[in-house]
Amino acid sequence: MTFKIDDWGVRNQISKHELVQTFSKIVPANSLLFESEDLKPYECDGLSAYRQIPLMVLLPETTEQIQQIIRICFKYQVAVVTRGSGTSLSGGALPLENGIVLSLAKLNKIIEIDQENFTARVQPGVRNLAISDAVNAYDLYYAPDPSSQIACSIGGNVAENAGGVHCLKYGLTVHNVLQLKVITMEGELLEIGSEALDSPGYDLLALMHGSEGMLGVVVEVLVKLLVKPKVTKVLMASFDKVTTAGETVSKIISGGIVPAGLELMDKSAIKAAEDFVHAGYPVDAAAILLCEVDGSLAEVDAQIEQVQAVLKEGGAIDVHIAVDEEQRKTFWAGRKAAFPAVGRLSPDYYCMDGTIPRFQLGKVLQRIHDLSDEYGLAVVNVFHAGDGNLHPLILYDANNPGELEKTEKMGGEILSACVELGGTITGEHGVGVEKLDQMCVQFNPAELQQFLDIKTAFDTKNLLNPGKGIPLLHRCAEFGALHVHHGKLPHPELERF
Amino acid sequence: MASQTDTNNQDQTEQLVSQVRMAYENRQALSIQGNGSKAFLIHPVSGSLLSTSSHQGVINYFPSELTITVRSGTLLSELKKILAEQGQMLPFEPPAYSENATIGGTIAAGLSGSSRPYTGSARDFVLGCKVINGRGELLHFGGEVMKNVAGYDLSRLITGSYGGLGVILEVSLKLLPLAPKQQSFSFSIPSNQFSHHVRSLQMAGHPITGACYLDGQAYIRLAGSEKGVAFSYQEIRKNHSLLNEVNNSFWSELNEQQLSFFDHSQPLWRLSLPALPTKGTENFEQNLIAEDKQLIDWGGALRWLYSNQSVDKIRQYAKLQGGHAQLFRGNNMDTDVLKSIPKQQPLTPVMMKIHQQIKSAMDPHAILNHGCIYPEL
Repeated sequence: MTFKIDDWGVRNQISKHELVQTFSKIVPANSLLFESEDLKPYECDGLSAYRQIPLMVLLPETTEQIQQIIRICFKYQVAVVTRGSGTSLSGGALPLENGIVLSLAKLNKIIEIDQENFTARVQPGVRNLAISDAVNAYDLYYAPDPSSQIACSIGGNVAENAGGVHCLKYGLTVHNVLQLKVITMEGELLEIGSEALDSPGYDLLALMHGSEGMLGVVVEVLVKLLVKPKVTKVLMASFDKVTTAGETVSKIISGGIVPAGLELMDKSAIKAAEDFVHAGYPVDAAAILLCEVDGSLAEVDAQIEQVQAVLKEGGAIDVHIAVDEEQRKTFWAGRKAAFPAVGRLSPDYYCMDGTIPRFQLGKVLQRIHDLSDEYGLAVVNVFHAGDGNLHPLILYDANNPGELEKTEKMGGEILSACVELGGTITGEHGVGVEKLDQMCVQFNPAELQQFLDIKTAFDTKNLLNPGKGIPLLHRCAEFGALHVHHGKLPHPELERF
Repeated sequence: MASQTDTNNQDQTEQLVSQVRMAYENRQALSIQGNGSKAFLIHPVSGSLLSTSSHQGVINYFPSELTITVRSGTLLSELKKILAEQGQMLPFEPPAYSENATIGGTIAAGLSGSSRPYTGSARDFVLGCKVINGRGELLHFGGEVMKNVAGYDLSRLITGSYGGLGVILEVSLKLLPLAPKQQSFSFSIPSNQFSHHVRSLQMAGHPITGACYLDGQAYIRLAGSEKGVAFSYQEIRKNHSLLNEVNNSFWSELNEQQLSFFDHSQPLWRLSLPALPTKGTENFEQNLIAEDKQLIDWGGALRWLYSNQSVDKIRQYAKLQGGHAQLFRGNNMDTDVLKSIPKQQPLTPVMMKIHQQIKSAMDPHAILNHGCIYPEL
């Protein structure tokens, strides 16, 4: 489906032909795509239900080229959508009809590895996993590991503040980046953060993370590396009730253990994954928990002992410790393949990303179950249980007229439920174009206006990825959503739309 | 699910919002203060006092979620006590500098203690906040969940902004369990080997949560399970003829600047640098002069320096090394010099411009702690 997004009224002050002429003086011919067959591969990102052919695509090779391109776009009011590997699940890199796509794929060099200070300086197009691969020989690694880590770029990780299965212990992208070089929409190069652990002034480094390419173009990233744990072990526990598994997660954590990873899969996810990769999952269990601990051998032994006790006390029917590294990887392979496994069950699936306080898990699962019945759409649940980050996958068939719309509506209701239960509409996938309406549920007009003011502080003409991330207030008015928090409508004094 | 909720009416939200709204309408400057324990870190602010001191109380505490939401006037000491009762802690070890330090001031200053390189900084553990912006609007950013990418991360932006971007009313923090075992020890080592040594301990996988250097001695803290710490301690002992036992209270004395090291009369500088200098060959020690005294923390990434050397010289050095220098305490510094320099390292013109635009987006009439970090902000 071609999805024309509201680009906030950006109107180009230059023709496509003139723009091509101008850019061809900056980048070589193979870095400038403007014929429709060349543009086709860029029409969508990981949220493929939404498509839009851009005006043109540029693939600069240097920071200087980016600066020149940006200055021209600023001068002629051309919107810029920055793209890494295009793995966004929220449409963050969805092109605009009259905007350019600035692909950073060619900026894929690891500039410097500083094994003394545990850092790596990389270009934004470097793949997440390529960093860990490059420093593996030094016994170091880069911790955030989104499921798309084979493909996704570090620049995109910054834009989305990517997480992964290990962020409970090792944090999100924002916790693992020391410095960014960023080009503003006016073409100025900012150095944000430093090689030290903090910087003077405001914490712009934090602000840039998760800003979905709306505040600046990231052209260099200094990431923090961690020492590889000496020992890593994983336990798999099966349960006869999903809620028991959920409660056990809280018990592990309140027992004083912060596992490196803690994942929950429900019965349908277990079955799909098992059929797909044969990870040895118990297909008759209602839920499984995968719990990984790491550290020195002595530390891991102590933690395994404690986790095992909590799991059994918590009502696990069965607990398995992976006997060797191979089995550990197999256990994880099932979880990491959960999405493609679900892809075999249904022509299409829609991945949600709500986050809730863990103790609300029972309520939210019940709500999802009820919605599934109501809409007649099956749901598979995988859950970053340690972080309270849910990924319900709604199964649908886009070829059935109206089914995508129905799915989106159901997804919206799941996210509203997450907000009502004290959570958020997106834990790690970003708002993009997908959750703009739900932003109106989570934030009140004054809060949304504050975000828009921050956007303008960086980008006075609103040319960087306009129409993503933050809804304009008139959109919320049309959507008719009211901001709800903890089930209440706060600030009754504020004007409602 | 255990949630501890306050019963006393310590909620000053309404009064504080109306005070800021009125100040916005009248374009009247406000000087925001908790209990003033970290006021020495900012430049004096003119304007009428806006005190968050009595805006107190725990709003939500979910030990099993590792999260707490508190009002900004809540005493840091009180908060730590509540957490300790549940076997939890603030992982960034914020310094108090006074018994009456509040959590609001702690977050506004954004300081972190010795565990910072190993567990994270104040802003790393901020999950959400409720603030009043310079228009007198009550805004809620982030939340009480570990992962949240809805909207820009304004809660972390506000951390360390000393009230210049908003009045912090509530803050939600991520917590960690207290480690079952902590063990501290010291050994003698030349100063130029300290950072390398800490690095090698990290490479060996030891659970370090503190590494500082003072008067020829490296001080190390390990934290983890009983077994894990005992194992690491034995391993480390194999490589040292003498390990001195150190009381764990050493770290809070360091953090609170109560060690005798902090008794000097020269200006106290806080230099944040890469742990191991990579730029040029000169190391920090070569830049010290006879009267200079230094304590190294964060495994080399933080240096406390008592020095009469010129402001420019100290800042140039810090910049050359890829870091920055903050004048932490003026002490006997010439009053005119003290007034004429910003406490934090000056920003480049492009960075200052973006800072000013952010300030004006949050506080268009510049009524909130104007000039507290730099005169322009």
